[in-house]
Amino acid sequence: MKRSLIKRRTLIRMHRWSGLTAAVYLILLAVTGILLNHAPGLGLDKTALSWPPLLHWYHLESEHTQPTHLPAGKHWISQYQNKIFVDGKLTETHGSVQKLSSVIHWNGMLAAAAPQNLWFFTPDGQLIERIDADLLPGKPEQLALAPQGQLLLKVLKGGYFTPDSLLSQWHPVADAVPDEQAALQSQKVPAWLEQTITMQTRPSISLEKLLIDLHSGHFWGTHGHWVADFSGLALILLALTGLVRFKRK
Amino acid sequence: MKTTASIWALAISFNQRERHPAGSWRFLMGALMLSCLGFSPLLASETVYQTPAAFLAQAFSGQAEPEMQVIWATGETGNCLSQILGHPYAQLRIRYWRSADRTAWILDEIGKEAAITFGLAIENQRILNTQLLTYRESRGWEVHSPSFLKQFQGLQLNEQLKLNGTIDGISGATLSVRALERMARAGLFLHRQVVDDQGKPTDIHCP
Repeated sequence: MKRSLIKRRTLIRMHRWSGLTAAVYLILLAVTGILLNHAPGLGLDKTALSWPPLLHWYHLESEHTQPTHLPAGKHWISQYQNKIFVDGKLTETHGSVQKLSSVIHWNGMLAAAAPQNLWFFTPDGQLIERIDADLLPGKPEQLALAPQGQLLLKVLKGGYFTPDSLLSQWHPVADAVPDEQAALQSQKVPAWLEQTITMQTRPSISLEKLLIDLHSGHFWGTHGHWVADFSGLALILLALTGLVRFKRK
Repeated sequence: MKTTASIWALAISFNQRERHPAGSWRFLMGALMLSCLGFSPLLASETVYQTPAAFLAQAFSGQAEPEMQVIWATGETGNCLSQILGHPYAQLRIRYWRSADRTAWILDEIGKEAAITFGLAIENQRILNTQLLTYRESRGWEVHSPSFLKQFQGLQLNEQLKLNGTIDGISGATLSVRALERMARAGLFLHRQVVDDQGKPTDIHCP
């Protein structure tokens, strides 16, 4: 009798705790699911969250760095992580952007070099073309102008190359002498540019992304599925203990 | 599994020692905290399935060395592309490679949040071959599978600038599938602008 009583109490506790555990996750799933069902109407993707603990969890706080500003003639090309700005205006980059090493104003275009790409923009910030390093004679290291005005591209572990009119063929230039005057440009970053870029680069995460990550378990990282598994096991235990109690009654 | 087992061990020990109702709350919080330890949010990454150079070599295998040319996504061409993609194409200048009547295109389009780089080889106004070059989304990468991409082979563009066949979607990759469909339509349209059935550029038109 006493042994049966202890077993019954254990069963009740297991039933209670497993229900409590599963309930928390199920409520989370239900709430996030309902909100995501109405995400467009609620504008969840346009709601930016800047709560410091949340930014810290997503490592956005630790990744926040100061933007860099590079002068290209009378224009400025700024970079913040994967974003490129021309005179403070965000441009289309379509992919990851490594650290820009060099920019130049050439032939009515603004050219920017990163280890994996060359970028060409119009002076008002429209992307003309992104050229992958795979289609270049090497990984871009430095852009320069020859005294005669030709574009010079220095590649890693290589020399200088100059392109044809279509930027398709790159021909080596022996004894290239970059124009030093073109390289000497004003280094003082205008205050309006710094303010404009700062406003656009404050770290944040959209509410929609947060809800998706919570709903899918990705919020808990690469092992997030264990959270779901654990709650699933709790549900199974809840059902089994409930069935046992029902049968005993 | 170790995490789950250890959490249950903790639960059993609580059951044996704690009889106060607050013990259940401590157990729950402890379990949740254990689950959170050492985890970091899943971040999207970039996966390169094939480089542009490798794709071009494959696209023109057995053909003469292709010549690189450019077409500008401005004017009527830009308007038609905007109609196909639902927005202006990201780049003003689109390079392509041509050998005889075969062209190869490397295009970019946003799936959900990040750009997908897609290669297409086109001849006789039909898609010969496609290849997912770079995938940057955090989910939906299944679109790179050869069995999925095979669906694009042989497709053409109808007068409404839509594909003349259907592409079976992939659950969880809907937006990526649609992005590839748009790029397939864009590639066929651009091919038509530079190569007609007689090998000459056609007059630009869009419905």
